[in-house]
Amino acid sequence: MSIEQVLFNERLDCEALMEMYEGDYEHAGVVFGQFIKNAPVQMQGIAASFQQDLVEEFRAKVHKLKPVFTFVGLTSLSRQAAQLEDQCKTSGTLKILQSEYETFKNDFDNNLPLIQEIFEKLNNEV
Amino acid sequence: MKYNCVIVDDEPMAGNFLQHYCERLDNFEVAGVFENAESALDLLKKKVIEVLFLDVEMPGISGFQLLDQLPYMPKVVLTTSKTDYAYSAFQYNVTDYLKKPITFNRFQEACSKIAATLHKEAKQVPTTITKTEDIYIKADGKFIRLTYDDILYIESMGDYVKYFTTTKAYVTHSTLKAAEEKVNANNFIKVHRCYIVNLKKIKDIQDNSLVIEGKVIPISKSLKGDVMAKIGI
Repeated sequence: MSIEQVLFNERLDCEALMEMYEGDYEHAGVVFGQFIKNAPVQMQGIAASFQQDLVEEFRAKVHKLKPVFTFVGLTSLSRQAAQLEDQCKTSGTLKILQSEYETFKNDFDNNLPLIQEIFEKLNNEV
Repeated sequence: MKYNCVIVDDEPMAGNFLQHYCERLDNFEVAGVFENAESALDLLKKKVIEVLFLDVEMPGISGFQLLDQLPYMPKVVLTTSKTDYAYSAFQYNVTDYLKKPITFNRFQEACSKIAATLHKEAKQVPTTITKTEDIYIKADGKFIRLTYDDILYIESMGDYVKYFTTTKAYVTHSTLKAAEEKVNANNFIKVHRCYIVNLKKIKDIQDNSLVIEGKVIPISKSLKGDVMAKIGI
């Protein structure tokens, strides 16, 4: 199975992934592995900041994770992160971002198994 | 020619990406990947590197604060997911600005630009503006005027030369021979293959070394006669 076949999924930004990895499945495997290991921990940190209504801390953590989503083809999550980050700049509280944050969090949770699945394919099938 | 580079990004995956990209290029060698500016500074103060890939927004010391603390200015490529830093980037004379996510093509383009600049600079012999009481050196991205009285001694560091003054050390891309030609022979003398000293700043001379502002500088056996003659001993 080629890396293109492995990475192709309508939920992912395959064009960006192809451009980023250019057939280098080893590197893709490393990055997907790092994402699975690190991103959930970072999302927990974001959740903690959100619950405590720490606007600047929340913004900084979202900002840091924003480009990481694109490394695994989750460009839409990266866009959501950018919107949350922008809204933090004009808001004194995170309470008004409840709905956007929940969508962001749910989308992450829903996509994580897909990233896990691709990671396993990259290691076993490519 | 291979250019030493350092990557500073508190997001490990972003740092990993840049390291991997560097490894795909023949002329860039990664001297270190750091997740914070403090650790990077330790290396950057000990070792002269040519290229710095630098994230801006990091906990603790930011990318710009790191640049403020560097004793010299490498070619800097800012790697950030924001575009808000363009003005500061201009002020710090950074070579390029890469917005995350960074594609290999865009990265390669930045590296080609850096390699071309470094190649051009390496070929340039530093220009002597005047041979009266001061010289101009290119450091920290600008021409800096140093009077002879400012300079304590000059040290060779491979392809670089470091001018030590009472307040600061300036690193410039040059050779010790070129530095020797820039300074007035009446005020300065080469005492070792790696050192030129300001005669007026010597505190004492022992067998095979001299002291300037507490720094012990070796004197070569082959140059000792010239040194002694020059200072009239």
